[in-house]
Amino acid sequence: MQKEVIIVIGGGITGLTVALELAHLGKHPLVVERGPLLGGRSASLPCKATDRCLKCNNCLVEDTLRQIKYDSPFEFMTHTTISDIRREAESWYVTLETGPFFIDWEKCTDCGACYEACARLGASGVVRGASINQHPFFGIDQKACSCLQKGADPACVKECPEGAINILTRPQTRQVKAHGIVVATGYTPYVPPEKNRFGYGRLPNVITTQEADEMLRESGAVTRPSDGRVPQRVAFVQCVGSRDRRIGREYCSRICCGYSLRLALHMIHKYPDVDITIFYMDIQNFGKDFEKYYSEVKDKAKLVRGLPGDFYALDEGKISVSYFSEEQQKNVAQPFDLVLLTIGLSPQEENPDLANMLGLGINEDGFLRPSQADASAVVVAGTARGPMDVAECICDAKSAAFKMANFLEGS
Amino acid sequence: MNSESGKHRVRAKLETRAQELTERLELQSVRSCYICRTCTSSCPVTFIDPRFNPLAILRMVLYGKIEEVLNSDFLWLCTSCYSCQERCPQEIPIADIMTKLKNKAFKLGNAPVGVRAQMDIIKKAGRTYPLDDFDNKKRAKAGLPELPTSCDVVKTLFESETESLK
Amino acid sequence: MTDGRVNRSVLVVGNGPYCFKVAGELASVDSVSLAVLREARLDEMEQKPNLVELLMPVELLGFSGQPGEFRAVFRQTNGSHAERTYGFVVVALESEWISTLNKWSVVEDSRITSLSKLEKYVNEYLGNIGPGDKVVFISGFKQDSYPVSQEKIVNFAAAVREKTGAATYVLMEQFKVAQEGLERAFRLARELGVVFVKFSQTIPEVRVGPKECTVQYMDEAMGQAVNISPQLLIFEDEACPPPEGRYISDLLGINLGNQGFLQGDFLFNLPIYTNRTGIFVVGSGKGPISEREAEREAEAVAEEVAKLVCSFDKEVVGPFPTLNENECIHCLTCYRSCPHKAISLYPGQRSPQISPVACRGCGICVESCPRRAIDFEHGESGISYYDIDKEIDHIVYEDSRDVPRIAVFACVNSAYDAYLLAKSRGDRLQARCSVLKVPCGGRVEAAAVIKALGSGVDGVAILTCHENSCKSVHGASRCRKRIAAVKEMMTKCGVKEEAILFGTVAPGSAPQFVELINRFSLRLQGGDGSSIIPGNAGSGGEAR
Repeated sequence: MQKEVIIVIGGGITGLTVALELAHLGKHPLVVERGPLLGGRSASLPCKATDRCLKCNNCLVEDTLRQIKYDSPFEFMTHTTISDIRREAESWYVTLETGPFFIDWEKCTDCGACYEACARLGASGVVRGASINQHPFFGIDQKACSCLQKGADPACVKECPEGAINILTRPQTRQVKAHGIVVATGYTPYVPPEKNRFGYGRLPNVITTQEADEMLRESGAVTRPSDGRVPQRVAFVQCVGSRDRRIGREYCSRICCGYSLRLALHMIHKYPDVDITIFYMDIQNFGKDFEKYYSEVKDKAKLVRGLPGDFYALDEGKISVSYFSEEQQKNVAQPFDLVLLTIGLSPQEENPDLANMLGLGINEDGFLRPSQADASAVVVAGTARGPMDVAECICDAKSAAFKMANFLEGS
Repeated sequence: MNSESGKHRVRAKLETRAQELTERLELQSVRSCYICRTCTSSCPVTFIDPRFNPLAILRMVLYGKIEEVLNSDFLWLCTSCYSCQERCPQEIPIADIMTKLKNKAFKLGNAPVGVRAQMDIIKKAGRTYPLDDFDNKKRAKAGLPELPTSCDVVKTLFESETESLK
Repeated sequence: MTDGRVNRSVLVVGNGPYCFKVAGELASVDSVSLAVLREARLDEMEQKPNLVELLMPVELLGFSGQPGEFRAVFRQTNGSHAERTYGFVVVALESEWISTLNKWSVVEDSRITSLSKLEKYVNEYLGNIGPGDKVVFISGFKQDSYPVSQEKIVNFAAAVREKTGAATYVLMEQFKVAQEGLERAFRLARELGVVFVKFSQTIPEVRVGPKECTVQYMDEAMGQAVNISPQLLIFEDEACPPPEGRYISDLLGINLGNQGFLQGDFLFNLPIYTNRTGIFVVGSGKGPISEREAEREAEAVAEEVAKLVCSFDKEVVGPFPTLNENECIHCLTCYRSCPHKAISLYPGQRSPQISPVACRGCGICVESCPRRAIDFEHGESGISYYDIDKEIDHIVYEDSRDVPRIAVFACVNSAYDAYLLAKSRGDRLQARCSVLKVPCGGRVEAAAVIKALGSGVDGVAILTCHENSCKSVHGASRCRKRIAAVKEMMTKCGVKEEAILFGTVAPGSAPQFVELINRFSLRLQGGDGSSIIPGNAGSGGEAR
C-alpha cells in the first residue's frame, strides 16, 4: 500500500502539532518549512514568569519540540519552499524546492562547529535555535553568508565534521504526491512603516515587543538598546498595528493585551523599582486568569486609557511621550527610558497566492479561510486563520488533524 | 397606541434637529470614533489650552450638542494643523469637521471679534498683514521688488462669498 | 485493562445543547453515551449523533477506574440505577448567564431587563420602542464582560437602532473586540448611530422611579455629565460556572479552576485537558467562549480520543513505575499523591494498581512512598535518571579550583533544558556543576537532597518548573514545600540552610539558569556575608 502523505505547510507550533497528531494516528505527514529551523515564532518566546508561571506558553512549545526531537515521529524538510501545486483526481502533486543552502538534519548532530566557524568570521550566516529542543539546532541564512559574498569557500562547510552542510548553486527539487494539505503558515509580526509617529526606527529606545522578546530570551532582561541599561521608566503602547482602519487592520490581535500585562508583571518582579505605564484603548480578556493579572497590573503599574500622541527624543536616550491625562484633564509629556510598541499579528503576505493555489478563501482581515467547496482536502490551522495564542494554536491544530484524518478515512 | 406614537413624534422631533444639522454639515463620520484619544493626545493646542479637546468636540457632535459647539469659543482655538486627522485610526476627517463647524459658526455670527477683524483685513488687503508704501520703501532698500498694496482678486472672491455668508 | 480488553466507548456529560454537538463529533470511537444532567431541548441539536444511549435527565452517582475502564453509576428519574463502563469521559458542561439586575439594585419589569431575557422576548420588549425613544445597554462595571456577550449587545444595539430608530446607547467599561469580525461589527453599529460610551474613572448611576428610569453618567471623553431616561434598559449578564461543575469535578477527580469554573489553572491543560488522562473538559464550562472556539474544542477532543484509542494498541514504552507488593503496607500515600489519579484501588486486589495509560512518569509516587515500594522500570534505552540514589553515588567533580561545587537536580521539563541550552551557548557558570536529570521536582526526595549534600559538594540546587506550569500539576509545589522542610530541619540541626537552593526556571531560559547558579555560587562563597566555604570567586568554569 502506498503511503498517504499529507503535506503540512509551516513548521511552527501549529504545523508541528498537526504533524504530531497525524503521526500518532498512523498517518504520514511531511512538514515543509521555508526557514532554517523548526518551531516558528513561538519557539523563541521568552519566559515571563514571576514567582509563578504567567502562561506565556513557551513551555508548551518546548514540550512539543522535545517530543519531536526525541521521537522523530514524522518527516520534515527545512529550507524548503513550495514552487508548484497541482491537483489531479484525488491527489495533489507538490513540487518542493530545498536550498540552495541547507543543513541535512539527518546527518547534523547539533555540534555547533558551523556556528562557531561563522561567528569567528564575524558573520551571522549560520543561525542558532532559541530552544535546545530544536533539531536541527542550526540553520543557514544564505543572505547573511559572508564567505560567498567574498567568493570564498564557506567556512561552515569545511568545519562540519559530518558533511551535513550543503551549498548548491540551484535548489534541489522534489515532487511529492499528497492526499491532503494542511496550511499552517502562521502570521507575520506588524512592523511600523518607515515614517511613524512613535519614532520607531529613528529613536533607538523605541522597540517592538518582538524585539523585547528576543532580548529577554537571549540575555534574560529587557534593556535599553542605546546603552544596555535597565530602564527605570517604561511605556507600553498597545494596539500598534491592530484595530486601525487606516492601515487596513480592522481587527484586534487578541494576544497583545495579555502579552503586555505579563511582560509588565515580569519586569516589575525582576526590578521592583521599574515604573511602567501602559497606554491602551481597551483591555481584552486573555485566558482564565484575566481578572487576577489585570488587577495585579492595576496595582503595580499605571494604566492610561488612550493612545499617546507624539514621541520626541530627549537627552540620554530618553523619549518624551505626550498623552491626555485624565486626572489633569490636559495633555502632558512624560519622559520614558524605553518605549515598547505592542505590535499586532498581520496576515502573511503570501496568503492571496496560497489561497489561489489551494482554492482557499481570504477573510476580511486578510487571513485564510477554508474553502466551502473542497473543505476537507485542504485544512487551515493556527494563526494563518487569524490571531490566536499558542494554546489556541495547539487546540486548533488538533482539530485540524482530526478533520484531516476524517477526510483520509472517508476518501 | 395613538398617544404612544404621538409621544414618539415629539421626542423624535427634538432628536431630528440635531440630526439634520449633522447631515447638512456632513458630520456623520464622527460616529466612527471608538475613543482611542489619539486626536487629543496629538493636539498641540490641548497642550496649551485644555479647553480645546478634539475628542470632546466629536463627542458633543455625536450627542447632538452641535449648537453648544457652534456657540463656543474653544472651537476657534483649532489651528488646523491636521495632526488629529492624519493619525485618526478610524479615518475621521477631524480637522475638516472643525473647519465645517467654524464655517457654520461664522455664518451664525458666532466668530470671535479677532477672527472677524482678521477677515476684514484680508478682504481689504488680500493679506493678513496689509502692505503699504512704507513696506515697499524698505523692500526697495533691500533690493527687493515692489509688491502690490491691494489685492482685487481676493476682494472679488469675498464679494460672492460674503453674500452666501449673510 | 485488568482483563486485557480495552473499552473504546465515550461518556459525554453535559447540561445543555452543546454536549449533543460534542457527542456528534466523536465518530471515531466504538460508542457514545450521553449523560445530560438536566432536561435539555433536543430540537436544539444541530447534528444528531449516532448515540448508543441517551440518559436524560440523569444523576451521576459514582465514578471510578482508569482510562479504558472508567466505571460510572447513574440514577435515572424513574429511580433505576445503571452501571456502565467507558473508555473515556468528556465533560461538556456549559456555564450559565445570570442576571446582574440585583447588583444594580433594580427589579426587572417591562422597561428593565437582562440581556438573556431580551434575547428570549425580543419582540415583546422592542414592540413599543420607536423613533425618539431611548434604549440603553450596560456592559460590565459589576462583573467581567466577555466578547461573546458583547457581540450580542453590539448586534442587538445595531438592530434596535436600525429597526426602531430609537436613540441607542451602550455604556461599557471595555470594548471586548478580541473575536473575529467583532471590531467591524462595532464600527457598523456605531455608523448606524449607536452611541458607545467608555468608562475608566466613573461608573453610571441607575435610578428607577415609578414613571421613568434614569441613567446618569459622566461621558469621560466629552467631559460632560449625561442624563438619559431610557424606555428600555438592558443589563449584560454575568457568566457563572455550571452549577453541576463542582459536584462533577469532585466525582471525577478533576481539578476545578478559578471561581468554580471547570479545569484547573495549569499551563499544560490547554483548553481541553484535565489532570486525568482520558478525561477532558470542553466548552463554556471553563469560562465563556465563542461558538467557533467551542466547536474547535469539540473537534480537538475527538482527536485526543482517537489518539488515545490508537495508543492502546501500542506497547507502553519508557520508564514506568512498578509496585513491589511485598513492601507495600497499603498506606495509600501514593494513591493520594498521584497528580494524575493514575493509581486505583480495586476490590480483591491486594495493592494499589498503577494504570500505564494514565501514568505520566513524574515519579511523585516513588518519592512519596514511605516504604520505597515503588520503583521505576528502566527502559531499554538505559535511561537511568529515575534512580537518583545511584546517580548521586556517581557524581564526579573535577578539580574544583576556586569555585564551589554544586549538585543540581534539574527537572527534565524545564531546568535540564535550560542547562543544556546554556551549555550549547557556551554560557559561563561560576561553579562546577553536576546536573542530575530528574523527571519532576516532585520526584526529589528529602533524603536525596541530604545525601547529595553529604557527597562532598558545597551546595545543592533543586531547579523545577514554575508552579502552575508543572507538567505533574503539583510536582513543583510539593518540591518547594519539601525543600523548605529540609532547610528547616537543617537549621534545627545547626547546619546552614544556605547550602540548599530551590529555584524555578523555564526550559528556554538559559540566562536565568546561569543567573540562578551564579548567584547561588556567590552565596556559597559568602557573597552575602555568610561564608560557607573558604576562598573567593575564582576563574569559573564553562557550563560544558
